[in-house]
Amino acid sequence: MSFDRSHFEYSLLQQYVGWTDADAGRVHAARELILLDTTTMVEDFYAEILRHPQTASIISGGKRQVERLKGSLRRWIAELCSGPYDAAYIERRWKIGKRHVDIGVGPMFVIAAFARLRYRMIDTLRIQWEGTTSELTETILSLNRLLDLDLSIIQDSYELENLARSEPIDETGIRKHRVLAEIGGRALEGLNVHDLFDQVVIHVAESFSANRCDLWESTGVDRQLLLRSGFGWPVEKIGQHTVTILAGSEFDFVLDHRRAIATSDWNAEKRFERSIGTETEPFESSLWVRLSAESQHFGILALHFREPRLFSHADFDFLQSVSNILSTAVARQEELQQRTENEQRLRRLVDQLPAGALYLSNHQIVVNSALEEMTGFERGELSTIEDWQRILLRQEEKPINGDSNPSLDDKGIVIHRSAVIRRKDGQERVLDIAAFRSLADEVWLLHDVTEAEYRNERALRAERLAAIGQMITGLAHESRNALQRIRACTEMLEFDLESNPSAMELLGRLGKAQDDLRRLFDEVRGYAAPITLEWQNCSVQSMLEEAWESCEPLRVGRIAHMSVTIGNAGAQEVWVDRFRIVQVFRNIFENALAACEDPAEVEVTCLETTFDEKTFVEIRVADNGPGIPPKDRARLFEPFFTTKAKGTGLGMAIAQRVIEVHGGRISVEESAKHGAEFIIALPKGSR
Amino acid sequence: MRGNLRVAIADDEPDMRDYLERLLPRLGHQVVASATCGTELIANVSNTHPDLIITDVRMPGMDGDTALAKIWAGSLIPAIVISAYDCPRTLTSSPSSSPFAYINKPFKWTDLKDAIEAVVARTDEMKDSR
Repeated sequence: MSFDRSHFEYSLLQQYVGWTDADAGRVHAARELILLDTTTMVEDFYAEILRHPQTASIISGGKRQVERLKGSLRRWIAELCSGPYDAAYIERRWKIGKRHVDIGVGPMFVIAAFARLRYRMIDTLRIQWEGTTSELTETILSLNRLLDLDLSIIQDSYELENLARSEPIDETGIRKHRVLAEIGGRALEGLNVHDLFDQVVIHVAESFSANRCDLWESTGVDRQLLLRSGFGWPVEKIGQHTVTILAGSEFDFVLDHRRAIATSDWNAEKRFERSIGTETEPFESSLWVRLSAESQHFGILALHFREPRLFSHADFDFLQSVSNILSTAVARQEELQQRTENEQRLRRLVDQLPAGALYLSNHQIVVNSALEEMTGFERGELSTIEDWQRILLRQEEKPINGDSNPSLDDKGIVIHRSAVIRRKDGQERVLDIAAFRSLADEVWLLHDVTEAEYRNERALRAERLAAIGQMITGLAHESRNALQRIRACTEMLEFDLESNPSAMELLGRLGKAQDDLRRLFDEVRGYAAPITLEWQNCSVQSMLEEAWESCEPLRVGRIAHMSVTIGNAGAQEVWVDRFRIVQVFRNIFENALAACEDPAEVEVTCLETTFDEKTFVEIRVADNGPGIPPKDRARLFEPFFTTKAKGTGLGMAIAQRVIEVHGGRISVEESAKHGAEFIIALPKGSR
Repeated sequence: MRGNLRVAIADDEPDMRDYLERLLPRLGHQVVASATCGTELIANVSNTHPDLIITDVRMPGMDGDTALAKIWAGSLIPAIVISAYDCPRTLTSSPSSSPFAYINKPFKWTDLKDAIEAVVARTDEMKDSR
């Protein structure tokens, strides 16, 4: 690179000094004359060098080196006169410059040497010249041009080489900058401060060529320091070794000063009492700086040397910079820890809140554990408000954040509303939502009020039923009397028409219509009339078996099987009105038998379970029928809802009523075999 | 006590009285008195000394229950009570030793026939055990 540059500049210089082929020709023509005196010239040159002690000292290799150098000079003079002045020529001159750096021949000396050679050459030419004076002048000018060109390239090469070699002279300075960059970089990356300390002691010790480097950290015990990191220390001491800061000791002094402190010679200066525990080796000089973060000292960084040593301002500055970096790193880590702790507390507050919480910002939502449990969906499944609406809300439901609020300002507003959601398991739940809405985001607090809604609904239904019940009871009684009269008259007609088959057939149909009407009245009354329970302790298994037995007429000619599994001891008995509960089981079995094709399989499992701090016996009746479509599941318990061609549609409504007056509940889901599964939960009451 | 009972009936509904008067002879029994209220029933019973009483509960004036209680205070005549109200479950579910049956309206003639037979059987048992 440098040589190429020189080659290029050499051409420019040639043009600048007006060097032409004619010059080359003139020098070439005069070469015999110039070379004639070479030996004298070379001898004179080195004699002069050796005469002066300064220049003589350059030649360290004795006579043999002088002889080698004389040969080089002769070759140079010969090339100078004959050329050719090409790239190889320039390269050889370039090397001379570099060689001068090697042996320490400075530019001043080279210029002087050139002047001496130039004088000898011109003098020789003048003495020996046989041509005209103007020709001599031209030749001398040409030779001067050539010598100047040679000198410029040698000097250029010398300067560049010298510059290149002089850089490493301030290597320690560079090393220190690198250390600062390295430590600073690690601190910025957020390296744990104790790991950072370990790196600091190694790097700092190396950059100072120190024998030992220690980083002492406050232990929290008054005036006690712990050797947190160390270079040049036995490994077992690190993290274990402590010292006490004594009054008048170096540590005492260092902690009092913001700037770095040094002692260049312990024994001569006797500035401090050595702290107990640090004096394991006879160090002659030391350098310290205190470490502090947010005006709190947290330690000391120290360097020790076996020899007395003078410290420069640069050394102090460097150590101060290291201290600053460590202080920043420690402050940063403490702040980060504080922030992380605060964040964790806040996160825990939100996540452990025994209510659902949701944060909404720019369509993105974050939900807490309680809300995950409420919905049955995990965080990842609900990440945007659109997910929330699409997955949880029924289509006809209005989007929760759809309503506009012209009054919304920076302070935000609180909106209360409720929403019916569909859980992952298909269950519908009613959520009460209090949303704090600001311009930037929304925070929701959600409560599952399904139970409360359910209780409300049940209370309303009971109230309504009580009113209807009174009316229906009266109506049913009066209608029984009327029905009885119709029956009596029909039978009297039968007595008279026994011999008339077609009239008897019509009377039979009349009788059947009366039976249907009677059954309908009975069922309506059963549903609406007040229910009084006769409580007793009953075996769940025997009630199920009795109900199954009573379905015998429906099972004639069919393959149907019912099995009971009692899951735990607590599920064996319940405190109920046996007659009513058997009626409920019977109703469910009748429905199952009607829905299932042969072989009909009804599997009942009973388990004692706890819900809302109350103990229940949960009885699951699963069949292998076609199941009940989700849309019909909730309606199944509505009065007069039926999917069967026959029947009043009161059976399941009555079953629900009976279970509810027991304080239990009944619902329907899909069974494992994709049939229907009725779930009856009866409170484990006591007498 | 065997078939061909002498029966006193009471019901405020003429249709029902008519029905019982025509049905009971077909079952081999004889209606000896027919009343429209409790007071009338008591009078009829003391006049005719029937083997069996069949009475409605709700009637104008004195109701069937009250009349029966008064009658039973004198002599324990077997009785069948017909009512539009459900019989208290304690009466139907526990085996009763009294010569008494309860029939819910509306009933069929076969229900009445069964009830008479049950009451007769129980009366016989009570006589035997005496």
